[in-house]
Amino acid sequence: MSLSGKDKTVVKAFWDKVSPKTAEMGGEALVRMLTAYPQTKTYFSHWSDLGPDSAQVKKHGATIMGAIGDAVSKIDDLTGSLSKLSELHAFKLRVDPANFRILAHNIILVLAMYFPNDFTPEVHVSVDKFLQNLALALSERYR
Amino acid sequence: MVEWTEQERNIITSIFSNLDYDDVGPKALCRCLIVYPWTQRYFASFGNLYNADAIKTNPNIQTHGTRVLHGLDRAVKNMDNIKGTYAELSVLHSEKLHVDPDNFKLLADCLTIVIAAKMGSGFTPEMQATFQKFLAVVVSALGRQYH
Repeated sequence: MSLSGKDKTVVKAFWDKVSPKTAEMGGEALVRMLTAYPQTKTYFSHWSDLGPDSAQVKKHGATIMGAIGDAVSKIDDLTGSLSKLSELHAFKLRVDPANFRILAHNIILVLAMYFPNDFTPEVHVSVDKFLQNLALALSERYR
Repeated sequence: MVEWTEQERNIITSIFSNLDYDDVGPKALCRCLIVYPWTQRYFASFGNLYNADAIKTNPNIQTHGTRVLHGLDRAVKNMDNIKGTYAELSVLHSEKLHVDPDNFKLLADCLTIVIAAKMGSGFTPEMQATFQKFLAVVVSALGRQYH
C-alpha cells in the first residue's frame, strides 16, 4: 500500500497544520501506549518513571514525533532517510516491529483528539498509510 | 474468565451512558470503510460506496452504524459473560455474514478513535486502556464460534 501523490500532499499539509503541537502530542501518544499496552514498557525498564506524568516519557515522545516530522519532509525516500534510525532499532534497540503498529495507533488516536475536525477519515487513511510505510522503512535493516 | 475492577466497570458504563449512538456509530463505521476500504466487501448491497462523501451520506451506513453500536449495549450489560452473550452473534457473523474476524479489530480501533475525537482530553489514558480492553473482549467473543 504505497503512498500516492495525493497521500503525500495530504500528509504534508496536515503535518504543517499540527506542527505547533507535535511535541506535546508525541508525549501524549507515548504515555497512552505505555498505559494501554503495558507490554511496551519492557523496552523502557531503564527509566525510573513510566507513569502518565513522567518527564522522561513525554520528552521521548516529543523526540519520536520530531523524527516523524522529519520523515514527512523526506516522504519521497523514507527508506533512505530512515536508514540510520533503522540500524539503531535493528541492532541496538531491537524493538519488535509489531510495536510500530501499536505506537502508530496511539499517534493516530492523539491526532484525532487534538484535531477532531481536521483529522477526517480522508486524512486518517493517508496518515495511516504513511505511518505504515514509515514502520516498513524503520524495519528495513532488521534482517 | 475476564476480570473487571469496579473502576473499569464504571468507566465502561460512563462512556456508554454519555454516548450519542446516532452520531458515533455511523462515524465509526464510515471511518472503517474509508480507512480500510477492503471492509466495503461486506456492504455490496448498501448502494453507493464509491468515495468518502458517498459513504458519509449513505443512509444504509447511517442506520447500520447505529445498530452496530447498540449491539455493544449487550456486552455493557453483561460484562461478566460477554462470551456467552455474543455466541449467537458470532455464529451469525461466521455462518451468514462470512466476515473475516480480523475486521472486528479494525472497526474497534475506528470506534476508539471516534470516541477519542469526541471526548478530547476527557478520554484519559486510563479510560483508553479500559475501553480497549472491553473492545478486545468483544472482538474475541465475536470470533469465538468461527470454525
